[in-house]
Amino acid sequence: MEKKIIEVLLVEKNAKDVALVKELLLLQRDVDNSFHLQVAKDVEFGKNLLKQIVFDVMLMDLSSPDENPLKDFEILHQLSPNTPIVTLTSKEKSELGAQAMRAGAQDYLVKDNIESGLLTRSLIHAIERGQLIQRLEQSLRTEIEERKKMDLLKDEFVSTVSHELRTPLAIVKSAIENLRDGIAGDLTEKQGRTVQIAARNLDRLTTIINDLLDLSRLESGKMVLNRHRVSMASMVQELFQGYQAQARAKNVRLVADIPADVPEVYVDPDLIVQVLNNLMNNCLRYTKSKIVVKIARKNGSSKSESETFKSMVVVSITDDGEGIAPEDMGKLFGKFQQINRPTGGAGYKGTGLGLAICREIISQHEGTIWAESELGKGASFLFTLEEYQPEYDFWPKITATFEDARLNKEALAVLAISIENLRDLKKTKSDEEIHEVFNKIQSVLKSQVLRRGDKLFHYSQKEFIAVVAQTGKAGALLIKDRISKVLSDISSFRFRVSFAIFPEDGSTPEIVLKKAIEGPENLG
Amino acid sequence: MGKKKILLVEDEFFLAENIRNRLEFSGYDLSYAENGEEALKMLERQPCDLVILDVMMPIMDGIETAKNIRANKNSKICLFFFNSQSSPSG
Repeated sequence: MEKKIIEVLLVEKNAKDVALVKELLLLQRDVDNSFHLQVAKDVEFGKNLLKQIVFDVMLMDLSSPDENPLKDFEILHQLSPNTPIVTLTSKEKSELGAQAMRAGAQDYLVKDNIESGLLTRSLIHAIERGQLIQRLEQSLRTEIEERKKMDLLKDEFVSTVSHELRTPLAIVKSAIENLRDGIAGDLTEKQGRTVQIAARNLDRLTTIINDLLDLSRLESGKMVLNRHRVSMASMVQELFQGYQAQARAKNVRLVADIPADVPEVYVDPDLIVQVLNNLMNNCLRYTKSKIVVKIARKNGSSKSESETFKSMVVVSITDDGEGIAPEDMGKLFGKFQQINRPTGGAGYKGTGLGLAICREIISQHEGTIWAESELGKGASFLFTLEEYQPEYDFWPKITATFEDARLNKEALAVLAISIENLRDLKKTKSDEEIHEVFNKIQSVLKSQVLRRGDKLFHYSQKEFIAVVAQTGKAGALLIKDRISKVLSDISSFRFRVSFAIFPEDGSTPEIVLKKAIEGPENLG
Repeated sequence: MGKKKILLVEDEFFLAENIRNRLEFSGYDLSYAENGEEALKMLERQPCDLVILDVMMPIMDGIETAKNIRANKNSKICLFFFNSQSSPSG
């Protein structure tokens, strides 16, 4: 059988070592392979050879007195990442060999200990491993592409199903409505009742299809939340208005337990209304005499990654029905999980998707949803939403303000107010205290400094407050004085106020803001 | 006073039939076109009081048809759009 020729690139400065490797490769008794060796005396030479010839494996000496042999290694590895590399080191520098392996070498050999079998075995194994890795990478790439194709197919499927189902549904619905309204002739009582059943179940079918489409849109992760600053309290009030008639008909009392100072949330209102409706419908189905919606503030003891102080709003909807059996609690938020609960009567049946949709919506808002219940004592559904923080609006607002100024060719002054030595203060003051100070600054600014056209943005991730005003440098200096004056009254903290002007100091909000924060204008 | 004339433009035949039955029941004089192009031809021959347009249709969609009807300055026809797709992404 013909031997396979293996192309080896040896990067070696030392002539004695070149001779040694040559000898070892010639001596080898490998029956299947024969080695063809090319020698490069340095990296530059090696680079040239790599560009011209495809090598099966590289053998590289790291023990030459170069300053940074690992750098040479990386150069060659980057130039031809698919060529496996085995390194040679001296006994004293064997740590280099280990480092090279971490950087992508297949193996390392200590020069003093090499014998022929070891060298060839190492080279062959390096080649085999290299091929294996390439095959793995290839199959991984194929898998990722396949998955992307599947996702695309699924999206297409959903929108096709959406269209194809809705058209016949609309036709059936209009036909049933025509029958019901006597357009196709007067109906007997029995016929009327039959049409009524068809109509009601057609509505149910429509709801299931809509729920399925909602859920698949939510699960695709491609849904963009249309977030706004929203008052949860007024949302619940509107919710109650919508359910008043239904509740009265069932003799159910709707109770709102909402403290006056409940904070706003930053959510997609349409989606949160959908959650509230789902939970409300559920409760109405199971409750006996009342439904209580409670909103509470839960002070976050947990810090987020950005170390921003985060508070949550907890919304709970509680009925006084029979409650949920412990063994059913785990099934509640699954798809098509119907559990046996005594309901308010025949015909009340959900789609089995409502709570799954709720869970998706809440988790997209980075909140959690759960249920609490005791048999015989009713059930509560609770979810958390993050409290609105002014910095959520920061970039959208400041970008819009800059756009306006650009269009109207107006100047903008950006003033940055920060607390001196904030980092040190954080060691002694709690997050809450610092949060409070920022709130205080904001309210003082609002009541005593700001005029129409000034926009106040609080951006607490970097711990400063930005004031954007439609004015140039002269105006900015006046505002700065006003701010300095009122701030000196409010607390023992020392503040720093500085500013920059658009367009003189920069063309984008990012640049101007950065200049404003770094600005030299100091307040003692 | 004669019956008000309505031209219904809808590519789904059965949906059109249901709508037509309902409107005739309510006392209107209905005529029917399968798409925008056909509707424009019919309007040339015979004017009407109201045109009901489906938005999504082959050959000429509702929006395009409406533009064409409006381009005729003498026309005082009321236009009414409807869309069987309740979701904008559908």
